[in-house]
Amino acid sequence: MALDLPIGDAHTWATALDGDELKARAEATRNAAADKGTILEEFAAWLLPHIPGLSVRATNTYSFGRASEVDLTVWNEQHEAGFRSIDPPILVECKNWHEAVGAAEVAWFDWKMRLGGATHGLLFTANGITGDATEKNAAYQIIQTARTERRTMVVLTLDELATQRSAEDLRYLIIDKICLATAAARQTV
Amino acid sequence: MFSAAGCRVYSEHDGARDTPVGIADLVVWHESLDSERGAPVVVEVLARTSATGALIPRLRRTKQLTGVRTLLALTTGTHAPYVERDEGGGWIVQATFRDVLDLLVDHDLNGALVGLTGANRASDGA
Repeated sequence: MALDLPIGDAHTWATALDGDELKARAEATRNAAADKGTILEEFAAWLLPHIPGLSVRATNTYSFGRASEVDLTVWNEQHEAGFRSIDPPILVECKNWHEAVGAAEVAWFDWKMRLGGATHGLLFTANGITGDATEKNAAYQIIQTARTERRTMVVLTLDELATQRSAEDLRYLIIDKICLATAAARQTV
Repeated sequence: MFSAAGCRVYSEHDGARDTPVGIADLVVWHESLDSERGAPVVVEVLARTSATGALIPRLRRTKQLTGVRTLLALTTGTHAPYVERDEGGGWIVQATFRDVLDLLVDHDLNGALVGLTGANRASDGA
């Protein structure tokens, strides 16, 4: 199922993303095994290259032993107007789940980042992850633990993404999330 | 100081006099920061002491917990910058408010950190 995405120039989309439509499409495809996650992948692959320097280089890439699959592998040219400080690749995982994504899935994504040598990962979710960001419990504990090994995972929800109007909005959403999570980092064990 | 230098500044503890050990005082993002220094940078404000030795384990712990590449500790007094580089290429830089302020007058944050880390390479790996 293709998404009707807003048309805009390279960095700005002409109309606001229709969050309701996006969520309705995500909901409609959620239970179809073949489409699970695909709509979010399609959305992420459209959205991220609006940020200067980012380009999707591979989709649905399996590891050598086929034990794991990475939804999107994004290259970062470290453009000054993009993410100058983030080394490539950036891995992207998409979870179009009715429920919040749990610790096991977040840990598996962290493992993929570790295997892939990625310092940054973006987790596109329909409904966030389990636990409390402040308490650093459940899935948030996995993210905090990865942080101590210099791997940063940013969780993006459809509600958050639907309010973005430009690449700059999206870029600052990601920057704010990275910085606020850094400011809130604390011991969890 | 950092806001005036064009940085985005974040803190979980606005207005708090002391932050618990291991939690960053300030988190600073600036567009100039490259992958060598990393972004964001954690800033620890050490207003009451400049004694390096006793503070380094605490600074290492905060740096590890926050996962940043560079931690900048600001102190009072008039000592030379202390620079420590870990095996993973990360930095702990301890410098006076005055030195950092002087550098930020003429440089962006990345340039200021380059100035500081180049100022005392003898302490690398200490």
